[in-house]
Amino acid sequence: MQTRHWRLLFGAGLLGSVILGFLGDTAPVYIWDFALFFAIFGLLGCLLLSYLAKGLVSPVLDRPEDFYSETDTEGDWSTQTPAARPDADAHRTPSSSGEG
Amino acid sequence: MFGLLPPGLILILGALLLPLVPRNARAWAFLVPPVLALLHLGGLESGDQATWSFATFELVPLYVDTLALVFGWIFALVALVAGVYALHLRDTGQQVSALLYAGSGLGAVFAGDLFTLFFFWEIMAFASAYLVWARRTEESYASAMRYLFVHLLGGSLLMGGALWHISQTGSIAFTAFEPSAATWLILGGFAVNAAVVPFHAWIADAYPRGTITGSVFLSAFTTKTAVYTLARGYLGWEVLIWAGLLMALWGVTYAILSNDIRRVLAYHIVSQVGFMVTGIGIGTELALQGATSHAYTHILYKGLLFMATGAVIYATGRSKMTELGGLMRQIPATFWFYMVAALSISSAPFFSGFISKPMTISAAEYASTPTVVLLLHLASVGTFLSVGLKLPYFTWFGDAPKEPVKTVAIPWNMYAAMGIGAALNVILGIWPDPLYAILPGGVVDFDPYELKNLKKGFQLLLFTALAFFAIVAYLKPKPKIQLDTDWFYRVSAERAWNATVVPVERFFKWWEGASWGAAGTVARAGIDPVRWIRALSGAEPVPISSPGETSSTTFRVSMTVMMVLLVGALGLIMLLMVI
Repeated sequence: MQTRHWRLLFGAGLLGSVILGFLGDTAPVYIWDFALFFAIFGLLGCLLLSYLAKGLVSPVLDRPEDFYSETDTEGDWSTQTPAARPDADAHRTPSSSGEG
Repeated sequence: MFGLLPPGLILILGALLLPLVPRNARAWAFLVPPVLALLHLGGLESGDQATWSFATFELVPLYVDTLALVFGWIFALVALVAGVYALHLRDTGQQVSALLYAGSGLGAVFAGDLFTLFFFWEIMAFASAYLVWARRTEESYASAMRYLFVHLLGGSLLMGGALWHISQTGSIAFTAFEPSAATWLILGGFAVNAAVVPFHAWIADAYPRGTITGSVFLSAFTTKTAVYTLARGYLGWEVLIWAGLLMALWGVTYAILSNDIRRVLAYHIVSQVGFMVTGIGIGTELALQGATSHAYTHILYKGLLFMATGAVIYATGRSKMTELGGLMRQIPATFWFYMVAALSISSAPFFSGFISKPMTISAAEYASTPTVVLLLHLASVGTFLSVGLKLPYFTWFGDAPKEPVKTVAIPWNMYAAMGIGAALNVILGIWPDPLYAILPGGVVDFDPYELKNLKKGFQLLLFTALAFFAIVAYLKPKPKIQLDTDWFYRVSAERAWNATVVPVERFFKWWEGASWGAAGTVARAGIDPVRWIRALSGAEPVPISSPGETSSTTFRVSMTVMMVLLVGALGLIMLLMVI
């Protein structure tokens, strides 16, 4: 499937979920019983959380990746995966021993 | 099968025997104990109990009820699936510790008394720390040490609280607790393992640094054992509602920012366990069923998430979103497996999370305030945003990194394990009845496929996705880490060390230097006392003679003998005085 098809499918899904909201028993008891409550909640919730994380938390608490230790090897997988070994090109298939 | 043997001991015994199996058969032999445990669980019934006498206490190493059985089933099952995932592994240390870890987790959920619980609790801490050590980098060593210290602190709280509780009540039984100082201490111990904020930072510190297969095991047992103990001991404690909500939101906020793919998942454990803790805090029958079923499905989908990300790391040798991207052409199958798990954790209809998470939220609708309900929904949005959208987008799609990613073939067994995991998640999502039948507390009064639940499920996820695609550039990952509560013991520990230990060390170093200096002076003076006597009496100083000058040597020897006699006589007089 091409990107255009996925977009169409996604649009149809959005429309379908909106129609679904108006089906069945729609007499609201709580605020979340309104037909489009969760559509709006999902939209605004996503924006709110993104802003909370990227706009408020990130500027205050972001640090460089080697903040705690200059030798932080979190991204170093050379002891564990064949792909990260210095000689990775020479052995493109995983060997039978050692790695995990 | 095996009578009333605690199921955990089957795995622990297996771990002890595993090194005796030939090396190449070891990975396959790993699968035997979980299978035996599953068979054994099939023969256990609610109400079964085994007691062993220990000193003056009657220990209960096996206490079976519906709550324990649900956790028992899923623990044994995930040990088996993760064992398949690790079939290519040739590392005895990891295999033994993984089995020991799973066994002690299984042991803990069937523990009927506090001593047995503590015993398995501590094995769990050490065995799991090894799975981080086994990565064999300097940083994973340090991280595992921090992990171990945090868990030993939790274990100490548990032990202290347990002893206090036993001295107050005279009972070692592990049952529902009444509030007291002792039970609060025990709660603290459980909170460490459940990753309750602010005791949660170990999880984001250690899990991304574990080995590829090790972290699959790690994601299953520690936190869920704690969920089980909270459900048994602290059902309906209101403080847990708020603690759980804080976890649910804290976890998603950090997950949105994390760059390491397995750190995103680790923060999501905090968030998902938050849902369970909230359910336990609400404490109604439906809430307990929600929390228990959510723990069950969580182990399945979280295991699959760690397996899929592990496969990405295996294939590419990279683990950061900023260094990944555009992998859809190279390893598309991992994407689809990952998405099954991601849709499950986001509780999309027809996937496993959909039959459990909405149950907890539904229980909150009946028995709690609208604030709780809305905050839980907000956390759900965050879950889909970070695990369901951001992570896969920037790993399999998005811009390819500057340095092109090379991939190696992923072993067949990893695909097989992911296939099993994905199948379980989908089957359970469509057909939840087998799980609902074994939940504690009777018939489940919840139908996930009611129209209102489907409305919620579809609208929430699809519109979250719409918002995500609108702001995708804003959410681009950055090569940064975020400070969390581990800052207090990682940075301030160094400062505290500098303030307390370093001055003491400096003082002793100075004192040592001064003592050696004094001793050196006395020793030099002792070589030739006459020289000093002469110098003090104002006589001409005689240079220290060379070996050839006999006259001076004779004089010096006689003087030295005289000094020795003098000191000896003084000593003798003092000795006589003392006597």
